[in-house]
Amino acid sequence: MPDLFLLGIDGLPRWMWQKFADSGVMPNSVSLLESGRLVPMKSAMPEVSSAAWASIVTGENSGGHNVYGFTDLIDGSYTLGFTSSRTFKSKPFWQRQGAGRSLIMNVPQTYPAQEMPGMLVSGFVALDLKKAVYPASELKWLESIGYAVDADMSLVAASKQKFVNELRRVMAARCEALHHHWGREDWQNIMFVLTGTDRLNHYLWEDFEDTSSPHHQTFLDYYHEVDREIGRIVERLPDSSTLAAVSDHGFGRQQKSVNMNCLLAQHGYVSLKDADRPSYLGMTSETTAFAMDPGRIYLHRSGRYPRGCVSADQAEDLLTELTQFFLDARIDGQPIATEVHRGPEIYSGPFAHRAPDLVVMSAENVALSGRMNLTELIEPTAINGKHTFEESTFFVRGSSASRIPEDMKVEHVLEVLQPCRQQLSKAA
Amino acid sequence: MLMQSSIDSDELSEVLQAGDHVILVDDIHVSECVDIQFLQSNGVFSLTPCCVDAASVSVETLLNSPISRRLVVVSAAANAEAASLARAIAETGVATLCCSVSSGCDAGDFMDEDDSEAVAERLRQLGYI
Repeated sequence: MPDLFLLGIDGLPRWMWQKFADSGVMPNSVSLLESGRLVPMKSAMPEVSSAAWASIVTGENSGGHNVYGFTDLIDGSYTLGFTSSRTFKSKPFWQRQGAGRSLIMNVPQTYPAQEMPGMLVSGFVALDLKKAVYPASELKWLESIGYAVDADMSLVAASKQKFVNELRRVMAARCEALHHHWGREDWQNIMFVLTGTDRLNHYLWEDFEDTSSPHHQTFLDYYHEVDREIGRIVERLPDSSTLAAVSDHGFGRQQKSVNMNCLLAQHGYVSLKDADRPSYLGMTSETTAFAMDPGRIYLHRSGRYPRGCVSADQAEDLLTELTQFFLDARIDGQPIATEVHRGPEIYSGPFAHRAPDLVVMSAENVALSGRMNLTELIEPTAINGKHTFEESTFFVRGSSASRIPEDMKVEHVLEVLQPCRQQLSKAA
Repeated sequence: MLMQSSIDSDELSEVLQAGDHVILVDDIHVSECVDIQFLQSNGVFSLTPCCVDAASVSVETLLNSPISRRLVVVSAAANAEAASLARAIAETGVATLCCSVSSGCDAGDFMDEDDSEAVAERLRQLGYI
């Protein structure tokens, strides 16, 4: 039996899980939640899945594990890189000495699959199942059940119902794979993440909020199925196993997506060689600050970037100016930011020097886009739900509950669940 | 004898071994390790990681401490003072390792270039880029 079962439910707000348990949408969750402790948890800064899941599985903030978002610029260049399992510079708990054998399924930021003691199937962003499975000998069985590394997101354009049917199909295969592999070995740890909830929340949040929407029940039905799978897991787990459930961020309404590079360009901070072919590669030496998703702001520092123009002496004034700029910015009379944090205040560790200089926290109903696109300040999108920093989920059943800190954050999860192993891993 | 090693920061805990005496000359994160001692600013070794100025380390004072296994000078990449200190220590006959730690991120740490287009599309679908 596993010592630890860590269930991930991507993008499930703590308040929503409690609400659905109370209202009968998620009946299996009632007794589960009563058996342990459910608390709100703060996500990574910014509240992006790649950084948050990396913090959950390593116990570090982004300065420790080196994942700041889904994108990053390769050091000393303007080349855009997409973060992968190789970008991770801190060992996830299943790679640490003394962890034992683990079954790790669908954890974001684990593609391509790396060698580890046990079995791993990569999560988002994963492209090719062949590169998403360790050991490779497990690939054939997964292919035989139609396991998909990702849902076909193009279906959302066809119809919301077709899209949700696709999410159901993918979840069913994932859960089949979990239960199949669970029984094949006496794993020390199991971590299993459901990501369809995040996709559903992005595209059907407006239908959740609007009880008269024809897709409102579809939204609830999906969570009912998630709850059924939770029930299967709980039934199978002995009481002696530590059971925890986490989400990487909360969710809320998105009414507007504001392109930060466009906003910065309008105010003279971003300058491109060719505005019609926007890319970081085209940033001129007149650029003083630029954005990356979502809400990360970098000063175009000399020494850090080839054409960087901002000296160390100029940085402080520019940081102060930009902080006020974002706090004062209004689009259609609405603020776009609630807070602006400085990198050194929120990041620590061997990769803190790669951090953004500022992190802008978005205002209610507003998402902050880091696209390098200077033509549209408000981006058209079908996405109507956005991540929130507050109210991600942390639940645990067992003695670990007494270790939950007052201000629970994603980087505290391992400390709560495996304090002895966290100490050992730091001593290893 | 002087050995030299260039590693990534996540490999440091694997390089350091029980019994090592470490001189940490840059602000590099080193977890507390069992039976590894770190040079303190007062010239003695203890179990607590401590960053010292390479230029102010006295090799003579250093060797007053019994070094049972080897001495490891740990620095960020391209630290000439650290390299010079390691050489000076090795010349006294103490087994010395000069360890340069890189905490950067190059192209190999990201998705393969061939996958970039497909990854970008997936991220666009979720509004990340």
